[in-house]
Amino acid sequence: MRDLIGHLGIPQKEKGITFVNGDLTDMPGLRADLGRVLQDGDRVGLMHTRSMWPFQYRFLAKTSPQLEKKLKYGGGGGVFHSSHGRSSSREGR
Amino acid sequence: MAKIVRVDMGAESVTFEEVPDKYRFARGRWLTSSLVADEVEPTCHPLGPGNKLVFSPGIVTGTTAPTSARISVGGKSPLTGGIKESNAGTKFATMQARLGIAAIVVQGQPKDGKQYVLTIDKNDARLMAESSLRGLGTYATTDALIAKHGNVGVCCIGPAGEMRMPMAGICFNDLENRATRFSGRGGLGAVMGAKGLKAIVVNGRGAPTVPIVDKDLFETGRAKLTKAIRSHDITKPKGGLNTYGTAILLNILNEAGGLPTRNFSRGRFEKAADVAGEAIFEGNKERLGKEVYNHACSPGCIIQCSNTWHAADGSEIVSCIEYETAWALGPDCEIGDLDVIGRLTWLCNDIGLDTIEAGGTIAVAMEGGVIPFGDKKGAIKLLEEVGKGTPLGHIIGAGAAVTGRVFGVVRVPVVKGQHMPAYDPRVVKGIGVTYATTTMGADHTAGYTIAPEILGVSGKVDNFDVNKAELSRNFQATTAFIDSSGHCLFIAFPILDFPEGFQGVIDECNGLLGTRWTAEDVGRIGAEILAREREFNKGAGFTSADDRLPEFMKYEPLPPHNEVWNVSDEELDAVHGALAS
Repeated sequence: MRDLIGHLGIPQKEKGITFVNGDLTDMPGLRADLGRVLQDGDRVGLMHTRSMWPFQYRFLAKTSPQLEKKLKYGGGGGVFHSSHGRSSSREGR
Repeated sequence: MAKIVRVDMGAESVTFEEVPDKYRFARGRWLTSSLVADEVEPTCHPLGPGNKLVFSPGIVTGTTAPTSARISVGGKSPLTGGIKESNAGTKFATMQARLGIAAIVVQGQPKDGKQYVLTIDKNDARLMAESSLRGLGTYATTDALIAKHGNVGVCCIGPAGEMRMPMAGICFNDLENRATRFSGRGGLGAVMGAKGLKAIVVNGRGAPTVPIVDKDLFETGRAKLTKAIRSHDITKPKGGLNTYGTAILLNILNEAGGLPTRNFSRGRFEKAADVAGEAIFEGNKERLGKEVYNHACSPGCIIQCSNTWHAADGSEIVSCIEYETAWALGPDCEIGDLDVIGRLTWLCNDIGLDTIEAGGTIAVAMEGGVIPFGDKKGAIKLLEEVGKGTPLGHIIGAGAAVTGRVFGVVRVPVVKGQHMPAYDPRVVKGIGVTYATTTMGADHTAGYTIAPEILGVSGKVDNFDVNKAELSRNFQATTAFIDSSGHCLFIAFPILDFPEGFQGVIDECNGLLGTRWTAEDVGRIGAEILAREREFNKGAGFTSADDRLPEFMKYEPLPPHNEVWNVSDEELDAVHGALAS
């Protein structure tokens, strides 16, 4: 994945919601799939950072184990919409 | 002191009442559902004299709270047969709130078959027989009332409501006085038509400001919420919603394989990118020669997600094309043409139809062989038949469930008689739990927000492992509160990622009302609203058997993931199990 976005000229910080074969593999700012090895025939969907898939509309949708782990242990219970500014969401806890 | 305006269509009378103490803090969905549960017999005919139609702005509507000009409309739904609340963003809400009217309750039925217009200003409320608007679409009706009364809040029904069609909505005017903001779902427009009420005009000129008990606390809350909204990638100026609108979801759901296509037979549409929010933005840019960012639907909205689709000559085709609308009239019907979707949207607005039910019903009709999938001219003609009230038009106007029965279609994606929105539950199973269990029928907005516990504002964190039933119940309860606050549900995005934004909503309410609510109270109030609604539905004859998805989803795998619906009935029943005990 890292090689692909490099080839396409997409800076890592501009990598948004990402799908591989319909499975959600990354959310903005999490970088959960950069190390993923892509196979011939894979369908990769790279969204701009202004895209959205709110939690309520993606709850229990197919998500890669790597992303699930990042969502779960990244704070917020995994229900956030955007990682941008999430440091402020952890204040006061 | 806030008032209830009670309109008796049978007696042709309008009276003002004090708000009973039990409704002291209730506004929006809290008040509409409470009044309906208290005053409407659950077994009444939705189009008969026993049903009531209630209009109530939210708790903070009419103040400087950001993005808070929502009005809830409630009653017994002719589409589902259960309780219904649907809301819209409109200056009508702000004006009603500033006039100090907690609720407009419309009851009874005229005996003479006449049509009426209700007019309310700071001095009086008058119900007048008015025949000149009969049969007019919502655009002409709104134009006529604005021409007569000036800059006022208008709500009206189109021909679909006059003909009492179960997919008829109630139309409110936007900031530009377009007839585009809908309380769409569940057929409340038919209830308004059955009561002989063509329109309501609310004139807010000279109205005072909404009284606030603790101005400092209110302002603190307002500032917190405003900061959260303006900071978040999705809701900030030139963020996702302001740039691309809700139709930004089309490419996402398509890539996820959960975009219902060809009447829920596939999860991807090859032309999705042609009708998505990005295509609307780029198309407008090409046609107008400049970037066009979206606008506010109502006073004080700082998210500003409403788009306008323009023709090649630069003229306006329609405002606005939301995600659900673009999907229902697009991929679900296999139509991949924004100009056609724009035309279909305009027709839905003018005839006064819920676009989700309309598009979904056309797709079911396509499945039944009435017209082919992808038939653009055929789809337009079907809506025109609805507007004219032909026999076929009445069938379509009765919604997807009826249309499916008439044409022998098995793949009819409805729950409690209401068509599903634009997320296939076989792919997004969490939203399927919401579709099945909400009191409103298949409704994507019913479980739209967050549980305070998940935010951590109550001290608990990391509820990611909580089972789906509890999560859905918490979502539905907190959504019910947001629907009562007057805020647009899209505040859920920033207040989920910024807990101080959620606290801001609570501070606003406490400042306005003088209450001392906490996050727990948000959940409690929401749960009480849901319990009242479920009680009504139970009285109307609903059982747990109605909290289910259509059978075909259990055995028809949806490409490309080839998933079926496999959430157990026990898990669905557990969503409201705690409420029932």
